[in-house]
Amino acid sequence: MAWMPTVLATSSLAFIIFRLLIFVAQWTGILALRRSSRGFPWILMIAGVSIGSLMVFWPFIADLLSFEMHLSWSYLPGLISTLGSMLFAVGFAIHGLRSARATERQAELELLVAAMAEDLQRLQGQGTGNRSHG
Amino acid sequence: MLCGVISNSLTLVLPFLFILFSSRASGSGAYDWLMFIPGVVVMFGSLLFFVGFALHGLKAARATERQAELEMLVAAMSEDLQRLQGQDTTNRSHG
Repeated sequence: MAWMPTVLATSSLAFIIFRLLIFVAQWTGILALRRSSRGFPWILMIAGVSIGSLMVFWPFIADLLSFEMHLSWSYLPGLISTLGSMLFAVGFAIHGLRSARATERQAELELLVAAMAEDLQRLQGQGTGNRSHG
Repeated sequence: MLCGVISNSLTLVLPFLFILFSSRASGSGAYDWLMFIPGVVVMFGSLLFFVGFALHGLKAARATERQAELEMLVAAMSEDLQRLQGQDTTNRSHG
Protein backbone atom coordinates (compact mmCIF):
# COMPACT_ATOMS: atom_id res chain seq x y z
CA MET A 1 0.00 0.00 0.00
CA ALA A 2 1.69 3.13 -1.26
CA TRP A 3 -0.29 5.54 0.88
CA MET A 4 0.73 3.90 4.13
CA PRO A 5 4.00 5.89 4.71
CA THR A 6 2.18 9.18 4.11
CA VAL A 7 -0.54 8.19 6.55
CA LEU A 8 2.10 7.17 9.10
CA ALA A 9 4.01 10.45 8.71
CA THR A 10 0.84 12.51 9.01
CA SER A 11 -0.36 10.55 12.01
CA SER A 12 2.98 10.87 13.80
CA LEU A 13 2.93 14.63 13.15
CA ALA A 14 -0.63 14.75 14.48
CA PHE A 15 0.54 12.64 17.43
CA ILE A 16 3.30 15.14 18.26
CA ILE A 17 0.92 18.11 17.94
CA PHE A 18 -1.63 16.38 20.17
CA ARG A 19 1.04 15.56 22.73
CA LEU A 20 2.24 19.17 22.73
CA LEU A 21 -1.27 20.52 23.21
CA ILE A 22 -1.91 18.06 26.04
CA PHE A 23 1.44 18.99 27.61
CA VAL A 24 0.62 22.72 27.54
CA ALA A 25 -2.90 22.16 28.90
CA GLN A 26 -1.62 19.89 31.68
CA TRP A 27 0.97 22.33 32.90
CA THR A 28 -1.35 25.34 32.61
CA GLY A 29 -3.92 23.56 34.75
CA ILE A 30 -1.41 22.33 37.31
CA LEU A 31 0.29 25.69 37.71
CA ALA A 32 -3.04 27.51 37.96
CA LEU A 33 -4.15 25.07 40.66
CA ARG A 34 -1.03 25.52 42.79
CA ARG A 35 -2.67 28.01 45.13
CA SER A 36 -6.21 26.66 45.27
CA SER A 37 -5.24 23.01 45.67
CA ARG A 38 -1.97 23.00 47.54
CA GLY A 39 -0.85 20.11 49.68
CA PHE A 40 -1.24 16.41 49.15
CA PRO A 41 -3.57 16.29 46.09
CA TRP A 42 -1.50 18.87 44.26
CA ILE A 43 1.71 16.96 44.92
CA LEU A 44 0.09 13.77 43.62
CA MET A 45 -1.18 15.55 40.52
CA ILE A 46 2.14 17.21 39.77
CA ALA A 47 3.97 13.89 40.26
CA GLY A 48 1.59 12.22 37.81
CA VAL A 49 1.92 14.98 35.23
CA SER A 50 5.72 15.04 35.58
CA ILE A 51 5.95 11.29 35.04
CA GLY A 52 3.63 11.60 32.04
CA SER A 53 5.70 14.45 30.56
CA LEU A 54 8.97 12.58 31.13
CA MET A 55 7.63 9.43 29.53
CA VAL A 56 6.86 11.40 26.36
CA PHE A 57 10.60 11.74 25.91
CA TRP A 58 11.27 8.10 26.74
CA PRO A 59 11.79 6.97 23.09
CA PHE A 60 14.33 9.75 22.57
CA ILE A 61 16.12 9.00 25.84
CA ALA A 62 16.25 5.29 25.04
CA ASP A 63 17.55 6.12 21.58
CA LEU A 64 20.15 8.53 22.94
CA LEU A 65 21.46 6.04 25.46
CA SER A 66 21.19 3.31 22.82
CA PHE A 67 19.36 1.47 25.49
CA GLU A 68 18.58 -2.05 24.40
CA MET A 69 15.71 -3.27 26.44
CA HIS A 70 15.24 -6.91 27.12
CA LEU A 71 11.94 -8.10 25.75
CA SER A 72 10.64 -9.06 29.18
CA TRP A 73 11.13 -5.43 30.36
CA SER A 74 9.55 -3.81 27.32
CA TYR A 75 6.30 -3.20 29.18
CA LEU A 76 8.10 -0.99 31.73
CA PRO A 77 7.53 2.43 30.01
CA GLY A 78 3.84 1.67 29.65
CA LEU A 79 3.70 0.62 33.28
CA ILE A 80 5.39 3.83 34.44
CA SER A 81 3.03 5.99 32.33
CA THR A 82 0.05 4.14 33.75
CA LEU A 83 1.40 4.66 37.26
CA GLY A 84 1.76 8.39 36.49
CA SER A 85 -1.83 8.60 35.23
CA MET A 86 -2.97 6.74 38.32
CA LEU A 87 -1.18 9.19 40.64
CA PHE A 88 -2.73 12.08 38.71
CA ALA A 89 -6.21 10.52 38.85
CA VAL A 90 -5.97 9.95 42.64
CA GLY A 91 -4.81 13.53 43.19
CA PHE A 92 -7.54 14.82 40.92
CA ALA A 93 -10.22 12.85 42.78
CA ILE A 94 -9.10 14.22 46.16
CA HIS A 95 -8.93 17.72 44.70
CA GLY A 96 -12.46 17.30 43.31
CA LEU A 97 -13.83 16.32 46.71
CA ARG A 98 -12.08 19.24 48.39
CA SER A 99 -13.16 21.76 45.79
CA ALA A 100 -16.79 20.70 46.24
CA ARG A 101 -16.44 21.68 49.90
CA ALA A 102 -14.67 24.92 48.96
CA THR A 103 -17.55 25.86 46.63
CA GLU A 104 -20.05 25.30 49.46
CA ARG A 105 -17.94 27.41 51.77
CA GLN A 106 -17.83 30.19 49.19
CA ALA A 107 -21.62 30.16 48.80
CA GLU A 108 -21.91 30.38 52.60
CA LEU A 109 -19.49 33.30 52.72
CA GLU A 110 -21.43 35.18 50.02
CA LEU A 111 -24.63 34.76 52.04
CA LEU A 112 -22.86 35.83 55.23
CA VAL A 113 -21.47 38.95 53.59
CA ALA A 114 -24.90 39.89 52.22
CA ALA A 115 -26.53 39.39 55.66
CA MET A 116 -23.79 41.35 57.42
CA ALA A 117 -24.05 44.23 54.94
CA GLU A 118 -27.75 44.44 55.65
CA ASP A 119 -27.13 44.39 59.42
CA LEU A 120 -24.49 47.08 59.12
CA GLN A 121 -26.80 49.33 57.13
CA ARG A 122 -29.56 48.85 59.68
CA LEU A 123 -27.24 49.60 62.59
CA GLN A 124 -25.78 52.64 60.89
CA GLY A 125 -29.30 53.88 60.20
CA GLN A 126 -30.16 53.38 63.88
CA GLY A 127 -26.95 55.13 64.91
CA THR A 128 -27.72 58.24 62.89
CA GLY A 129 -31.36 58.04 64.04
CA ASN A 130 -30.24 57.91 67.69
CA ARG A 131 -27.89 60.79 67.15
CA SER A 132 -30.52 62.93 65.48
CA HIS A 133 -32.97 62.11 68.26
CA GLY A 134 -30.40 62.89 70.91
CA MET B 1 -13.40 17.63 30.95
CA LEU B 2 -16.48 15.41 31.03
CA CYS B 3 -16.21 14.70 27.28
CA GLY B 4 -12.57 13.72 27.77
CA VAL B 5 -13.37 11.35 30.62
CA ILE B 6 -16.21 9.80 28.63
CA SER B 7 -14.08 9.21 25.55
CA ASN B 8 -11.28 7.83 27.73
CA SER B 9 -13.73 5.42 29.33
CA LEU B 10 -14.89 4.47 25.86
CA THR B 11 -11.40 3.20 25.11
CA LEU B 12 -11.89 0.53 27.77
CA VAL B 13 -14.61 -0.93 25.54
CA LEU B 14 -12.80 -0.36 22.26
CA PRO B 15 -10.47 -3.40 22.38
CA PHE B 16 -13.47 -5.72 22.63
CA LEU B 17 -15.17 -3.99 19.72
CA PHE B 18 -11.93 -4.25 17.82
CA ILE B 19 -11.61 -7.97 18.47
CA LEU B 20 -15.19 -8.48 17.39
CA PHE B 21 -14.61 -6.49 14.24
CA SER B 22 -11.30 -8.04 13.28
CA SER B 23 -12.57 -11.59 13.81
CA ARG B 24 -15.34 -10.86 11.34
CA ALA B 25 -12.94 -9.40 8.80
CA SER B 26 -10.12 -11.84 9.45
CA GLY B 27 -7.65 -12.59 6.74
CA SER B 28 -8.51 -9.73 4.45
CA GLY B 29 -6.09 -7.25 6.03
CA ALA B 30 -8.20 -4.40 4.73
CA TYR B 31 -8.90 -3.18 8.23
CA ASP B 32 -5.30 -2.85 9.37
CA TRP B 33 -5.60 0.93 9.56
CA LEU B 34 -8.25 0.48 12.25
CA MET B 35 -5.33 -0.20 14.59
CA PHE B 36 -4.90 3.58 14.84
CA ILE B 37 -8.38 4.30 16.10
CA PRO B 38 -7.96 3.41 19.82
CA GLY B 39 -4.80 5.51 19.99
CA VAL B 40 -6.49 8.47 18.31
CA VAL B 41 -9.49 8.22 20.62
CA VAL B 42 -7.22 8.08 23.68
CA MET B 43 -5.25 11.12 22.50
CA PHE B 44 -8.34 13.09 21.66
CA GLY B 45 -9.93 12.17 24.99
CA SER B 46 -6.89 13.24 26.99
CA LEU B 47 -6.67 16.46 24.98
CA LEU B 48 -10.31 17.28 25.79
CA PHE B 49 -9.79 16.35 29.44
CA PHE B 50 -6.69 18.46 29.86
CA VAL B 51 -8.15 21.48 28.07
CA GLY B 52 -11.03 21.27 30.53
CA PHE B 53 -8.52 20.79 33.35
CA ALA B 54 -6.60 23.92 32.36
CA LEU B 55 -9.80 25.99 32.21
CA HIS B 56 -10.85 24.60 35.59
CA GLY B 57 -7.45 25.46 37.02
CA LEU B 58 -7.70 29.07 35.86
CA LYS B 59 -11.25 29.35 37.19
CA ALA B 60 -10.25 27.79 40.53
CA ALA B 61 -7.41 30.29 40.89
CA ARG B 62 -9.91 33.13 40.50
CA ALA B 63 -12.31 31.45 42.94
CA THR B 64 -9.55 31.15 45.54
CA GLU B 65 -8.77 34.84 45.24
CA ARG B 66 -12.45 35.67 45.59
CA GLN B 67 -12.70 33.48 48.67
CA ALA B 68 -9.72 35.19 50.31
CA GLU B 69 -11.37 38.55 49.57
CA LEU B 70 -14.64 37.35 51.08
CA GLU B 71 -12.91 36.09 54.22
CA MET B 72 -11.26 39.48 54.67
CA LEU B 73 -14.54 41.26 54.02
CA VAL B 74 -16.33 39.12 56.61
CA ALA B 75 -13.62 39.78 59.19
CA ALA B 76 -13.73 43.54 58.55
CA MET B 77 -17.51 43.63 58.60
CA SER B 78 -17.80 41.68 61.83
CA GLU B 79 -15.38 44.13 63.46
CA ASP B 80 -17.47 47.04 62.17
CA LEU B 81 -20.64 45.40 63.42
CA GLN B 82 -19.19 44.88 66.88
CA ARG B 83 -18.07 48.49 67.03
CA LEU B 84 -21.46 49.78 65.91
CA GLN B 85 -23.30 47.54 68.34
CA GLY B 86 -21.02 48.77 71.12
CA GLN B 87 -21.83 52.39 70.19
CA ASP B 88 -25.48 51.54 70.07
CA THR B 89 -25.52 50.14 73.61
CA THR B 90 -23.51 53.09 74.98
CA ASN B 91 -25.89 55.48 73.21
CA ARG B 92 -28.82 53.71 74.77
CA SER B 93 -27.30 53.69 78.25
CA HIS B 94 -26.47 57.39 77.95
CA GLY B 95 -29.96 58.14 76.65
